[in-house]
Amino acid sequence: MAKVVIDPVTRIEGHLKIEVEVENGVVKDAWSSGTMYRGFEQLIQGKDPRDAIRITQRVCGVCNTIHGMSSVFAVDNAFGVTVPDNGRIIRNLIFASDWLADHPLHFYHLAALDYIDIMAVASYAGNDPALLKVKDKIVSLVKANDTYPLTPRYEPDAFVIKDPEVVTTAVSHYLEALEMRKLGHEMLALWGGRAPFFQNVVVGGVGIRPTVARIAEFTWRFEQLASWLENTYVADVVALGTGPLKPIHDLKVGLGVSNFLGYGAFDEKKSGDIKNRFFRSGVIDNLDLKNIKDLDPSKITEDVKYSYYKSASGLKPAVGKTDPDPKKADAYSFIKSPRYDGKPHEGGPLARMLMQQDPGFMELAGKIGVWPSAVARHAARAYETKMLIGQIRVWLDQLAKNINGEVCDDKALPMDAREGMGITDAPRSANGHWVSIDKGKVTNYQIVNASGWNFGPRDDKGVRGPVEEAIVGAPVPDPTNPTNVVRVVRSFDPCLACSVHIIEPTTNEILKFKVT
Amino acid sequence: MGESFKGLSRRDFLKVCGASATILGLSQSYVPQIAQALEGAAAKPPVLWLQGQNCTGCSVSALNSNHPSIAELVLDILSFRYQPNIMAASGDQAIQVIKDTIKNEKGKYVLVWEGAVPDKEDGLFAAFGEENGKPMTADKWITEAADSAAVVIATGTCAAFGGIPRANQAVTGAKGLLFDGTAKGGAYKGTTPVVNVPGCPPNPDWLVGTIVYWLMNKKAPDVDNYGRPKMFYGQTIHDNCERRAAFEAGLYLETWGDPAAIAPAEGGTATQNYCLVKKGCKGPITFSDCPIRRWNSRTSWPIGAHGICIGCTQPEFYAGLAPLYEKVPEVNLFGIQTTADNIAKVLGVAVAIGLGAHLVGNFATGRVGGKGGDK
Ligand code: SF4
Ligand code: SF4
Repeated sequence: MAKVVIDPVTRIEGHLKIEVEVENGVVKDAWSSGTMYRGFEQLIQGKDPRDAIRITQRVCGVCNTIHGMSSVFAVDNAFGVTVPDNGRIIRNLIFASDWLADHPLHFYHLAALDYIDIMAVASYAGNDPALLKVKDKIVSLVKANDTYPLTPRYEPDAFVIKDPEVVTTAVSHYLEALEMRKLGHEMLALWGGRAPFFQNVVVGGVGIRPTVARIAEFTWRFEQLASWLENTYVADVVALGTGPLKPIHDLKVGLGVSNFLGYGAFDEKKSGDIKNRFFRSGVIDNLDLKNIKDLDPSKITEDVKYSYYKSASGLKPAVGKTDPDPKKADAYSFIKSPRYDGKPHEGGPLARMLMQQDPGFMELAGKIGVWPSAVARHAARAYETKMLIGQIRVWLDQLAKNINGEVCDDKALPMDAREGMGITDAPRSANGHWVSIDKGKVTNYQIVNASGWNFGPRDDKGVRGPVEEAIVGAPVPDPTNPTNVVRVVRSFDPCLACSVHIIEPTTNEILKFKVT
Repeated sequence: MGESFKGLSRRDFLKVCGASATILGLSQSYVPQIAQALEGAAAKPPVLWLQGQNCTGCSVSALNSNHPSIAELVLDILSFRYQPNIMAASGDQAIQVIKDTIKNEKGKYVLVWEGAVPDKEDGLFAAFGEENGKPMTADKWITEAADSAAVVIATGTCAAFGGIPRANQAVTGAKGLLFDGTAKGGAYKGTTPVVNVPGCPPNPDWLVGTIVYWLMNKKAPDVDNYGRPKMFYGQTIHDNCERRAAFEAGLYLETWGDPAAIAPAEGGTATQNYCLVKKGCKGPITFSDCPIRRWNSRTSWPIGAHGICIGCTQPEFYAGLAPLYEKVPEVNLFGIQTTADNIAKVLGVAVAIGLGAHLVGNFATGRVGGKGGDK
């Protein structure tokens, strides 16, 4: 048996470490550990609750809108405001802009290098001028003997796409995506002030009023991005998922826990109301797609037996505690283990699309094969991008028809004791903030992080978290090239710095990767 | 001059140089000089981009660079040996690249550092990579990587001053590289020059501009008392704010989204957009060129989108500027009906003595919220 440690796992956000045990070329067991702690829950104590909306956005600069939205929902809830329709819709536009920037970033810039042999570009023999330009670029890097940051890399394995035409196209789309995702951030900035980290979403709504001019400026960028996303990003994911990447799916690489959970995203009626969201909230157990249960947030708890916290385990977030002890025995992660009804649940695009069951997605899933996998997660992410594009047009329309409507229910800071919960789905999972305030100050703040649902360690009963479980069974024929492990890890789009280590237990020696 | 630069066509190369001149606020007549500086190097200058207690927001902001674009920066201008969010390599392969660069490119590489550096509990609050089965902490990396670098760019307020993680310094010991808030004495004790490019996150122009300046001149740009390049951080937000006239006229927004305090072009009925100082705007005590440079291809900026400036480029950020939604104590409005003269007097004092010292004094006497980095 070989123990494999990858540290750091790159092309993600954050600091995370994953160890796996490999037996006969297959992963037998896995451990996922977050290796960084700042303490937002501690530093926001005693502060003005309105600050949390700005400060907690910096939990993660990749999913930068998610914490801001969860936080404002929580503080809205505590203040008891009624967000006007235009405030709600502008928040949706800010949030959705980030999703449209984030999903292609994840696919092309974070994940794609695991699926293509980029050096195949050199063998491109066609005469498409755009692709020839890509070829020239890569060849010139090779000639200059400086191919960073595209190498070093794991040796391309059996599943990697090597067809020069497909690879060169993918690389040219990688470069296009770098430009296109900026449009998403420009859209976000038009309504939110800047990206990352919007600045004008406040308790009660937003500070900005809609105007015809702003809607036009937004639409001009949005329609360019939308057509690129549909014709390039979604098309690429579908073509690759049903074609060259299907063998990875057929091997069920990255199956996971088969329990899914979603808080829902994008409010359609009352702000923060999880029953009326464009992407619905709900729970699926044991992949029983016929039986989608309503979400009951009171069933959420967090275990910390294997996490670096000395605070009590199994607490509900509203009364949660965060007291770090980085030297705690047996612990191996700064991430807690969120559980719903005592069980691990996967959150994210696949969870959402399995609950949404849009006919188009079910048809796509039928083509790929209806079971969870790394590839299925990419497919779900692409499909929901398409759904969201359609809905943005609806919101823009609603905004234009009610252009003089109010945007904010601006209430003074309450001085009595109150509590608030703000939960929403994020591009990569389900994210929640719980706040208690008294005398105008935060008395308790707990964040159940989107990636915590997926990347949390074992719970108190020793049950693996979703990513740990998803890695088990992954083929790793060569422990020095654990490509399938990082494929699975990245398919969850982690927003934690991630480190996976590879150790040979017989010698206890960490295998050094050859620099290619 | 050669026909091509490291695989770029002459035309594309000059475009990159032109963009670089723009970002530095230089006229296009500097293009040949920039071209010469870039072409003079035998190979693309190596870059290590390492992260401590960060959120990756600084990296994501850098992806939004336009002049030059991030693809041009990564593939054409610089040799990104290690950048955890875009590089292909993982694990020991990736760590080996850092070690090789430190060893083989001694004195030649640019170290970009993102995130604060914590020193409590043996630095275990931030680690990446392992050595002999032990986590390599940010604390260890900074000394190793910075000592052999040609220059260190502390990108973001976390790296420059400690930033948000510093608000929890009692637990993790988070500090900036050279500064601990406004005080000298950060996590890096060596002698390699460090340029601070704060902002939470920094505008991509500030970071890219600082790097290009260094490539051109092989020295750090002129900086202020907090190590920030004056070309980007030389004036306050308030100095250049589009709502300054409203401030002088005593027109202050009191309720978010109130049409009576918003200009017609922005969906309101007022003569102009009212000043946000009563909502807590930190523009009067924050140094950066946001009002002019704006964000995201110049589409907008926080105050332009009817939000306050939260002071994110300042060494006091965050704990020293909390609460964000209360008026800054330095600005005395003398009631609503103020006169421009009175305002100028009050602000004049604050701005003239460079606010840094002013705020430090106030922390000492407990006047600024009484909690400079207490939590
Ligand atoms: S300075 Fe701000 S954006 Fe940069 S790493 Fe720190 S918290 Fe994130
Ligand atoms: S206080 Fe803020 S909004 Fe008002 S003029 Fe100054 S920078 Fe602008």
